[in-house]
Order: sequence, then C-alpha cells, then structure tokens
Amino acid sequence: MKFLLSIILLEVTGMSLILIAVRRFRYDYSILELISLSFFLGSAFAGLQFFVMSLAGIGFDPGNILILPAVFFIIIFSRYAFRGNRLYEILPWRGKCVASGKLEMILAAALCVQVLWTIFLVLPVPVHSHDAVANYALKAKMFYLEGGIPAGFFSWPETAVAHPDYPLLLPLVMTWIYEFTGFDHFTVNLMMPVIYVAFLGLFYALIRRSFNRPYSLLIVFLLGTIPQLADYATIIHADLVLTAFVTCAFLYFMLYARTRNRTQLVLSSVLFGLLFWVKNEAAVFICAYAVIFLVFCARAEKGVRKRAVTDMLMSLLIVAVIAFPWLSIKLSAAAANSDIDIAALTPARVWENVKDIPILLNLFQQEVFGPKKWNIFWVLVFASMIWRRKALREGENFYLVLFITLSAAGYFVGYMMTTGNNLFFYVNTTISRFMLHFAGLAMTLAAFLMWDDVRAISSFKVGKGEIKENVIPAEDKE
Amino acid sequence: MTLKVVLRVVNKENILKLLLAIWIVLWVLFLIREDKDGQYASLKYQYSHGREDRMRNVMTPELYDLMLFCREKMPAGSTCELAGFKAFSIDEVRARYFLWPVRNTTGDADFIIIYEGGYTPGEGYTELKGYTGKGKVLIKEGKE
Repeated sequence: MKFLLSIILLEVTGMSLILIAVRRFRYDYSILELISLSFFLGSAFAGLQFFVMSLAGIGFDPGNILILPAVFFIIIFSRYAFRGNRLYEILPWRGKCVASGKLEMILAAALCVQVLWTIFLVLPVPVHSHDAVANYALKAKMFYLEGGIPAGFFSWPETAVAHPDYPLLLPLVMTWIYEFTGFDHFTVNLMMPVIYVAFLGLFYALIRRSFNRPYSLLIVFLLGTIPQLADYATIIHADLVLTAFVTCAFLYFMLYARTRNRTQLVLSSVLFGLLFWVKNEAAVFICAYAVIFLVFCARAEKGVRKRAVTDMLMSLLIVAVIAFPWLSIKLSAAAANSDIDIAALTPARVWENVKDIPILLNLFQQEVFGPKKWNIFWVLVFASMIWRRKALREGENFYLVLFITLSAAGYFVGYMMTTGNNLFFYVNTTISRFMLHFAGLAMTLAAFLMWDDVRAISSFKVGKGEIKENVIPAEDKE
Repeated sequence: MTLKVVLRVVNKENILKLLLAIWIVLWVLFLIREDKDGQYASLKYQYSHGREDRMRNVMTPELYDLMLFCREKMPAGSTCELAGFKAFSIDEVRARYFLWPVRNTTGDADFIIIYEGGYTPGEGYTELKGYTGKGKVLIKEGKE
C-alpha cells in the first residue's frame, strides 16, 4: 500500500506539472499519455528535488519532500475544482470510440501476460543483480539512511561506492519510495515493472498519433515482448529508463517536426534534458539531437527557418537548464569515470581498440541473430530497412535514421576511447544493454517503414481514419 | 503458373502472419524457459518463505550469516575492509551493500572481513569470537 502511495504521489506531482504548464498551451493528450508522462515527469521532479534539497542541506523526510507537490496540487485544485466550466480544459482527448477487434484484444492480452509475468518474477526477490546492488541500490540506501547525499560522495573511491560519477535519478527515485515504505529492498524492486508499463503506455500514446490502433498495439506488443527489454523490467538498472526517455523524447521531436507544435518540442527537450540525470550515455544522444535539429533547420523552408532556429535555441536551452545542476556538480567534484579516462587515452591505446573491432562486430552479430535476448527484433528491423530502403530518406524517417546513426557512431567512438580493461571486456559486458538504448528508436523506425505495407492488410484496417493527426500548431489554434 | 501460386501464398498478409507466429513462438519459449538453471525452484522457494529466508537464499546462506554477524558487531559509521573477496564479485558488492552504514575502505579499517581466505592482515587485529561459519571477522585492537 505504501509503495502504491509513493507511486500515486509521483503521478499526482507529474500530473500537476503537466496541467499547470502544458495545458496552458491547449495541448491535446490522451489519458494514457497523461498518466504515463505524469509518472516520468513526477519521478524526475522527485529526483531533482532531492538533489537540490541535498545541496541546500535540507534533510529528506516526507514532510519536506511533499511541500512542493502539495503546492502544485493546490494550484490545480483551486483552478479547476470550483469552476466546472473550465474542467473541459484538462479533460484528455478521447478518440472516436471504435470497438476493439480480435487482433487488438489478443495483443492487449499478450501484453498483460508479459506485464504480469514480469511482476511475478520481481515480487519475491530483493534487489539482487550485480549492478543494481553495487550501484543504484547502495546509493539509494546511503541517501535514505543519511537523509541526503553524503558529504564528499562524488569523490569517494570505488571501494566505498561504485561509479560516483553516474547520474542519480534512479537512486533518488528509489529514495523517494523508501521515504514512504521505509528501507525495503523487496518492495522497491516493483518500481521497474511500473517504469516498464509507463514506457509502453507513453510509447503507445505517441505512436498512436501516427498509426491506427491495431498497428500501434502490434508495435507496442513487439517492443514490450523483446526479452531483453522485459528482462530489464525485472532488475534495477538505468538502461530501461534511458531507453524510455530517449525513445519518447525523439518521438516528441518527430511529432514536432511534423506539426511544429511547440508543446511537443518542449516535452521532447525536457525528456532530453532529463537524460543527463539517467545515464552518462546521454551526452551521445544530446549531441546527436543537436545535430539533427541543425539539419532540421537547414532543411526548413525559407519562410519558417527563422522560427525553426528559434525553436532549436529554445530546445537546447531547456536541455541545458535541466542538465546544468547535475553537470555542474559532476564537473566541479571531478567525479571520474572508471572506464574512459581521457588523461590515459593514448594513440597506442586507441589503436589497440581499433584492432579489436572484429571482436566488437562479432559480438554485435551475435546480438542481432541471437533470439534469446532479442527474439527476431533486429532481424526484422534490418529487413525492413532493406525492404523499404527508399523510404529511409522520406519524412520523419530521415531524422530517425540520422539520429540512430549518429548516436550509434557516438557509442562506437566511446568504445574506441575505453581505457580500463580491454575492448572485449567492455563490449561483452555492455553491448546488449547498449543495444537496448536503441530498441525503442529502431522499433519506431521499423513501424514507420512498414506502415504502408501493413495498412493494406485487412486486420489492420480496423479503425483506419480515426488517426489523431495533430497537425495544427497550438499557437495557430489561438 | 507456379509463380502465380507462390505469389498468391506469399503475399504480405501471409508474410506478416508468419513473422508474427515466429515472434510469438520465440516469445513464449523464452518467457517460460528458465533463464538460469534452477530459476523456478528458486522462485518457488522465494514465494514459500518469509523475507529473512528469501534474503538468505538470494545472498547464499554462508554470506548472509556472516553479514548478520558483522551487522551485530559493527557499529554504524565504522569502517571495514573486505578481504578475500574476488574484486567486484557479486559477493563483494552484496557485502558492501548489506553493511552500509558501515563504510567499506582499504587500509586502517576498524574491521576486516575475510571471506574466502588467502589474506594475511597486518598486526594490530584480533579475531572476533562467536562466529563459526564461513569466513572470519577481525577487529582493530583498541576498538573492542
């Protein structure tokens, strides 16, 4: 019950933020988008709040941490509770009611089975996987028992805490849960299935803006039942969170590229900014995002280019503002990364890594063709890219392909810059989780590529024409 | 004629159905297949026991019992050194996690936990009595 309360409070916090900020711009959202996005924004707010409280020397306790969420809630409550005529402003968009087909019901049922199975695996075990214990759970335990981030934490040696330079969102959200449940390394595990469901919910809500219901459900089913993705919903690792944030951030950007709706751009920017709080790999995705936006501006028609450039600057500013507290602390504390040490990077070491590229490629092909972790996911993705190769440069696909390519190139460069162990060690221990970061993006690409072929099939005609084409920028509506 | 028959069978819908069927078969297979040997036996154990036993089962009884002893003897805020553990092994990180707020350090620790052996502590430490399981715990002289 206490765990549920902690999740509900994250929801209420996130929802209040959305209703305060986003709804002012008359942004249409579905109930699923509202709920799932609220969870992510509420979690991010909780994490950032803890971080700021710790810097300000304010102790973590339920009284302190609930003040701001309570204020947000009161603002919303006072704005809408006694003015029934304004309630329509916050009601989510409801699509035309279309009865579910057999295929949709099967896909939804299968997803439910997957979610229940995940919970079944998580329920009786404490935090147990290596990185979860060594990194996230240990930090959360420290923060909870110390009532904040301990002094000198970022410069502690690896013997005291693993990777003090790693972003803290996940341990801080765990700390939030502990504030309600008490220190309980069984219950806290349940947050991962919640993140998994929220991710699938938001992913569905976003791709639903481009495809009809059966097809969107099929795509979510395929993504949600990738063994690797579902496995990461059973252990406390930040990789699933990174996958969720980067996928949804780019989906919002794609929607913005189509509709020029600034609210979608703001949501994209917020999620991109939050990436820095999730994993260090965020730097790669943010750089790729900046390049994509430059290309987007360059490709914009002359009349709207100025607006696109303004949007880009606004977006990057939002990313910078959100990332700033974490990056400033990390840089000022000189928290060192144990795997990439620029000072130790020599041409000889890079050459050593370059010579090991065949090892990297071998492990990569094992991932692509091995069904144990990926089913036939990567085979389908690459097959769709070959099958519809001409469409790779069309519309949103262009940005998606470019984003994936640049980000993957960034990861590759990262591998070439590793300095600790040999390249085989790093690739062998990380490639499957790094590929997870791209799973949502790759699924989206395959979905866009195959849509024209699949929409002609009878099972996927159901609900055709009810696609929510959110093409009118909010500003123009006004 | 043959080509026409092939094209009729191999249309987009059938390809999609085939791919979906392969996906579902593999999904179900890897969903119910044991991820590690003894996974279901372990799950059964976890579901049928209380929290204490579950934790003991996950950490292994040897390590858990040693950690319980350490927790009893080591006051919060003291320091310990983990010796005889394989560096960054699951046992080592679990010990570090379990013992906090006893902070793990190297050299001049208040306590030394020797788990697998193969470690000779410097002078100034004596063994804590009262534990008969795997491993041993040393305390710095003057900290008793």
